Amino acid sequence: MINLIKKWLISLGSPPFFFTWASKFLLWFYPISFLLLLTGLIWGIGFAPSDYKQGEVYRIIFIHVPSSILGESVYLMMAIFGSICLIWRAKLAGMFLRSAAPIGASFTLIALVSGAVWGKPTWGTWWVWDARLTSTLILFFLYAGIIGLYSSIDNKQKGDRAASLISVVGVIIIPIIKKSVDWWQTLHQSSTFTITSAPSMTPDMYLPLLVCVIGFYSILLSMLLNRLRAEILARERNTSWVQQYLNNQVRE
Amino acid sequence: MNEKNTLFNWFMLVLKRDLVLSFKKIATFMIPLVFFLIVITLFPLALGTEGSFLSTLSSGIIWVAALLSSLLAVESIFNEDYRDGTLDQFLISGEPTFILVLAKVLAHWLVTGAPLLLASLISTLFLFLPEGLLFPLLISLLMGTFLLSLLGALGGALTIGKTAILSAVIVLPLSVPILILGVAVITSALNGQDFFSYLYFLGALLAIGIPGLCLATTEAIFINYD
Amino acid sequence: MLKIENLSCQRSNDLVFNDLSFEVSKGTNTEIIGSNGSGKTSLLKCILGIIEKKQGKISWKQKPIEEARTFFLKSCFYQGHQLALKNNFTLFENLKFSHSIFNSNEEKIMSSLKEVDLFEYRERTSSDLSMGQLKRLAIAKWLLDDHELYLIDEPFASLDQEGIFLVSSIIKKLNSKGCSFLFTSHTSSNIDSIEILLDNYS
Repeated sequence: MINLIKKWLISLGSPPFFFTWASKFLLWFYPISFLLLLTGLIWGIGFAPSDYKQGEVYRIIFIHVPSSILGESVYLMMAIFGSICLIWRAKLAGMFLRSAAPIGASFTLIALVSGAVWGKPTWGTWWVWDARLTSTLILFFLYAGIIGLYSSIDNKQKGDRAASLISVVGVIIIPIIKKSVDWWQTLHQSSTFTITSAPSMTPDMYLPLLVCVIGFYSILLSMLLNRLRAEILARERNTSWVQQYLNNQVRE
Repeated sequence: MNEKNTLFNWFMLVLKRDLVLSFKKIATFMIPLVFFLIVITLFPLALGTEGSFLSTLSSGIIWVAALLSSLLAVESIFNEDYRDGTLDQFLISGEPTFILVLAKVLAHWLVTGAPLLLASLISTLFLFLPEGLLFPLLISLLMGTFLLSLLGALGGALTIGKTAILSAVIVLPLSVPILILGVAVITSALNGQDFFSYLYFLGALLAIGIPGLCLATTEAIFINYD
Repeated sequence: MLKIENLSCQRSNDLVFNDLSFEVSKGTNTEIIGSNGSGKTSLLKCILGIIEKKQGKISWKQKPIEEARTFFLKSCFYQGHQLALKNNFTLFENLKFSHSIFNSNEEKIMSSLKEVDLFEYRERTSSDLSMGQLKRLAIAKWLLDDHELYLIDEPFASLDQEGIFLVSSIIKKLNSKGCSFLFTSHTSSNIDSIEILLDNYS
């Protein structure tokens, strides 16, 4: 059994096999992930009880928290696949980085913007230098750097490997960044704001948040797989299987 | 000639070579220094010249300027050698690339970081840094600029042939802990607290950084060669 | 000494050469001839390990090159299209800081410069030299140390008759010392060598 799984995982590393598998998987998974996302969001924003302290505004948590979790998860995934790309020279792992980086950057941006929108009514200002927002901002800059790096390198494989290296180095330095920002923030904490990360939650609020997170993760998986499919098509466009696939698509 | 002897000789060869090359053009020394001083000057121009105001900001401004000048000066580390084939020769020589990187980082630091320490003395005049903070400033900059040279080498190796600003964008977020720690040294000295603990942190970062970042930089160089 | 068996290599996903086999023995010269793009430079880079080989076997002194890589690299000398000379260095410094000698052996540098007829210019900066003179400086590097195998990419390019004669005589001299040459060129040269022709593989 384990051998079968291993075999399947290894064969997943070949672009044609992955492409056909991902296309079939996404046919049913994409709609499900949309459903999950919608369920979570509507439940949270529409039906969850209002908060004792923050009223209705806190509902933005259903977008803000999953986005920031995702922003960080994507970076971690990029580091994992980056190390696979560097150690085993797996082409697909390298292509994953190109597919994942813009998605991660976007989620980080959503987290920043939603955080700012949350901040205005609760703290009175669009931006505050609290530890989480600052680390998220730095994470965004890290993403921007990676995207800038691989887009500036013409040779695609080299670009992948350079992006992999910087992701791996980044993932090791990120805990140091977070700790130092946390600590820096306690030094400079403004006395007017007591920064609370989230209202303490009852199951009524916690469950929709959980569904949101699952929904976000599923939509992330769908987007990643889809972008990876597109990247494969672009990269391997000179191979016979891609030509055949595209011909079939045109004919339909 | 045993192995140890050869490693040291290789290190010294690369170090001497880079230093002699930098000395040939006085600009290599002067430009990062002058850039540093220009950036320092921009702050009073932008923020006003009030003494006490500037002195509260001085440690931060000096550190930001140091960050910028170290990280923008990385073009000299690998670009030229890559372009005229010397880097190829180094990689084919059969000698460890790790030592090559270490020697190059040291050479870069001696040319950009070390003069910066002197320039920071001038900037304490410009920004009215309080008395007695000179020692923490210098020692934090000493360790910090070396870390920045290490990071800069990584950025430079990843972006061989591209502009320095791309390398700076990649590496600046990673240098945030160094900035925070460096300024903390000075601020805690200002408050009369023990600033040595922050120096120990910087030292710890150096201890991981020297092997780790040099290793990452050698990998980055090899990436450019497929 | 150097044995190549069924070597193929690719550059940017295009096969550059395929199934190449030859051998270089001690004290002999092997010349790779081909037109532009036939893979001459890639062949040299592949042997050195700068480019990954797709398949085939390279052995150095009967040992696979992967095992003996450092050993091999230290016994060979490479000169590519870019001559690895610094414009800002003087000729003397260019040789002094060449990787092949660790402790600057002044006499060796002086004698190499004399042999290539550049001794008078030894304190001039390399940016002052003409292309032919730069090429001769690159050749002076060959003489700093005796390497077992010299891999030179187009040694005769940009050289006049005198320069070609100089290179040929130096190669002959080094041959007698037991050094072998593997070099590339566009057309057949007058050196005593085994010639291998590379077709444009496209």
